[in-house]
Amino acid sequence: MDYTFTGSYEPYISPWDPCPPVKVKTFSLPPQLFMNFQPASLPQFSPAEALQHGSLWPALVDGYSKREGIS
Amino acid sequence: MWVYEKKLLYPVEVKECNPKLARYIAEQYGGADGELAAALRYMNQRYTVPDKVIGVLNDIATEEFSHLEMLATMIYKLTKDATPEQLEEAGLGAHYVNHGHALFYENAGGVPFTTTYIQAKGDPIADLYEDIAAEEKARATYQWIIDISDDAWINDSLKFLRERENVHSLRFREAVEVLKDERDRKKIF
Amino acid sequence: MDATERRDMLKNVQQADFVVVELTLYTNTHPDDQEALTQWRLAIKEAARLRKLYEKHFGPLSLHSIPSEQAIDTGWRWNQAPWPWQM
Repeated sequence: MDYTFTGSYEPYISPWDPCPPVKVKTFSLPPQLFMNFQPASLPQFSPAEALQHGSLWPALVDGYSKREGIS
Repeated sequence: MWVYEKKLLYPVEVKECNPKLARYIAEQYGGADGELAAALRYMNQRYTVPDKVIGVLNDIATEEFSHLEMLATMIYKLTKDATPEQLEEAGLGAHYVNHGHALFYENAGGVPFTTTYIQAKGDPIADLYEDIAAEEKARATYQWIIDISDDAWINDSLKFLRERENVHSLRFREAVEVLKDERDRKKIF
Repeated sequence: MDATERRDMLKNVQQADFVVVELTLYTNTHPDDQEALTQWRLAIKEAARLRKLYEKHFGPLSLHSIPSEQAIDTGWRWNQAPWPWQM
């Protein structure tokens, strides 16, 4: 897959903002938004991988993890 | 009816006593977009949806109860042997005074669960869109708990639960598509 | 068998059961996907096999499984720790 499951935008930054500005804010765009109805015969994980990832189908997994440095 | 299974849906491993994290996890235990609200919402809506989508509501509701048990396991273990002083330091002093070491259906701010968190409109599309929104809100809540938590073991289980929200959201979206196929069906007969 | 072995065998059951959970939800909205329906049937069979293997050593996971006389004789009881949240 050559796309991510993240959107981003650059919020207005005021010279009087009290905290050091985060110049780019990101948000989730999870796979179900682009699928809407799952097609048949998608590739599958093994049972062990499926439990690990939380889905039988890699195409439904976007793997969120802790974002460092954003408060 | 339901039959109890003496196992968790997904392994939960808790290595550190951390009542503060337990308090944050409570948001998904007894909060507005938590697993209790989800389970009760879907279980209740299943009576008044077309037969074709009952299974989706029934089976996702059942799975939500297994998510609730995973969260309870985390909260139980994170607070099990904490002293009253530790609980107070974690912002759980008022909880301790009211509930001791018991778990309670409340959100991260200590607000008790209320059924006003859930809806049942009796209109299949309105209810399914509510359910899709609920899954996305639960997904977001897991993101914020993962962001604020330093516990890699707990985060492993929370990531699993977050991914389940993705899958459930997709199934509810599919249920909407299934109902859209019913358009003008009466005319065919 | 020790606690680690028990946890590993339980994980096999959790993995197999999870495949059933996923395929059940999928076939709810894809009732005409024959390939998925076949896989779903086989997944239930495999989950039952692994469950039996675990239960032979550690007793029933639910009361849909028959406890062996040997299990009762050697002291297995339903109301026995550890419960899932205690492990």
